[in-house]
Amino acid sequence: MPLSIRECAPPAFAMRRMWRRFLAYRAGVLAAAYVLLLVLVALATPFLPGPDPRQISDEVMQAPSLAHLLGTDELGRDVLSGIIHGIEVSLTVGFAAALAATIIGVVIGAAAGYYGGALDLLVMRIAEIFQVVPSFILAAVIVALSGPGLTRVVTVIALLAWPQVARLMRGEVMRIKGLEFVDAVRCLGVREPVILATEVVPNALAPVLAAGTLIVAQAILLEAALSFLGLSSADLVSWGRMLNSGQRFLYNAWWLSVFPGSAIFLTVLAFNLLGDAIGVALNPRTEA
Amino acid sequence: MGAPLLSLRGITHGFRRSGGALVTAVRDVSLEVGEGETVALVGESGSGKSTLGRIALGLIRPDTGRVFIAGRTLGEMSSGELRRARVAFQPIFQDATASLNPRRTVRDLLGQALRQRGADSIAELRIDLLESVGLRPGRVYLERYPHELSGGQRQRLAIARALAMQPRLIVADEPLSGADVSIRGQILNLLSDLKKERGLAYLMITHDISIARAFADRVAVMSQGQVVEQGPAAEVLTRPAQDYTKRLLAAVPELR
Repeated sequence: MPLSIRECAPPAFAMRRMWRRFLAYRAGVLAAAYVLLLVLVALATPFLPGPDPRQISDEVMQAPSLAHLLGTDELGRDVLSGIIHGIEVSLTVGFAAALAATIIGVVIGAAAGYYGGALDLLVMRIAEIFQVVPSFILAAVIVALSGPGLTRVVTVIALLAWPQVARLMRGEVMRIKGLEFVDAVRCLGVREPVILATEVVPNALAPVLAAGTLIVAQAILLEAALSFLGLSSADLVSWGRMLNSGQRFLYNAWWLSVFPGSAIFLTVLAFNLLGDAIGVALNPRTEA
Repeated sequence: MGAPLLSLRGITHGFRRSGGALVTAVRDVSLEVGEGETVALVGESGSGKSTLGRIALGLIRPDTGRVFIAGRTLGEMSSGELRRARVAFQPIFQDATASLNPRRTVRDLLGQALRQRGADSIAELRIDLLESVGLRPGRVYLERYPHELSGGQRQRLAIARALAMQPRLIVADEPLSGADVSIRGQILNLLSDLKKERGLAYLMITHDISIARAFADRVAVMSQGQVVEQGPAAEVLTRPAQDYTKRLLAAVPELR
């Protein structure tokens, strides 16, 4: 029985093709550039000129002007400075939550897919429970009960997002464990857990990368939503927090809502597009 | 004469279709392969040959029946013993590309096998193995990935990896079907040389009667999960007793 080895393509030359498919997805390239810019600005934030985002001044509720490009809020704080400093929180939460969810999902999905049977049944039912629970409400309840804090937010988001990765990983592992190269290694007398870790998982990781990027977007959005509801620490500069204080002045100071809102919108959009682009790049059937 | 290298007794094995229906792939099959002997398992596709090969390799545990390796059943062995015992049986698959992890280099693929065997001086053995399957000079191949080799070279590499385990039996499942016509002969000669040099036994699974004729000491003919006829190659392929074998032979185009 000849077995297909789709998506198990050899690394070096598959890489070149992947890169071509990625470049052909224009929106994804744009999104990647935007994400790169965000990361650079976040890293450079301590060295940038401009006022401290927490600095109170007499120039309250100023509309955008040359002195304050994006205006000031009710305490005279600079909105642009707030947005720049807010990148750090969004990206930290986004990346940390996505990384945690991916690690949990990869381990659980790989074990379920490889060993199957009762373990698979149990783990996948647990994953379903997490997936049917309305995640925002659960997150809000947990944070409201346990108190704000970035670590808590990251933990909650990771706990809610791992099933997406686990399902994907499980499917990939189930496909790859049936390929002949795995049987060939089994005939060398290599132990099953070693086969899983060194032969199967490395070949199954590619699609997980795309899912992980999408989780970054979900995490950023969820953090912003929690902060908007006031469920984040008050001394943290975050986009959701800015929206939370700005929405009271929506009719007389639109800039307090529009700019942080746009920052959230663009960033979530960018990570979604980037995730799509990675998915397209990794799928050999979408030929560029 | 001790116990045969591989002995399958009363093997039956079925698969569950996605619909839930049970399909019996192998039905009450008994087969032996002696030390240094080449047995061809012939039959049309879907006759259960490959399943039987995978059972012989220990990749599938049959529903019923017993598999003896050098006189001991797999059932009496612990999983650790089983792992060590079945190393003596190495596979060669039809599609060499699919049988090599695309992310490992030649160095890596052979090193993995040699380390697994617990060999010393892996670097030298690696080169020896490559050259013994006709990949000369061995060192130029070390850093290549499987996709950087030709189809014939990949199959040679797969054979080299099998040899790294110092096997006594090679279960070759249609080893030539994935290869171009131009390299079939080379691979077949290589397998035949290895048999002479190393006293290897083969279980050669093939639908190609001409390979069985050229290569096998004994032939077993499978149809619909059962062995319908087996015996010395010369006998079965020239004076078949069964209608099925006759039809199989009649279907082979002959050169005159």
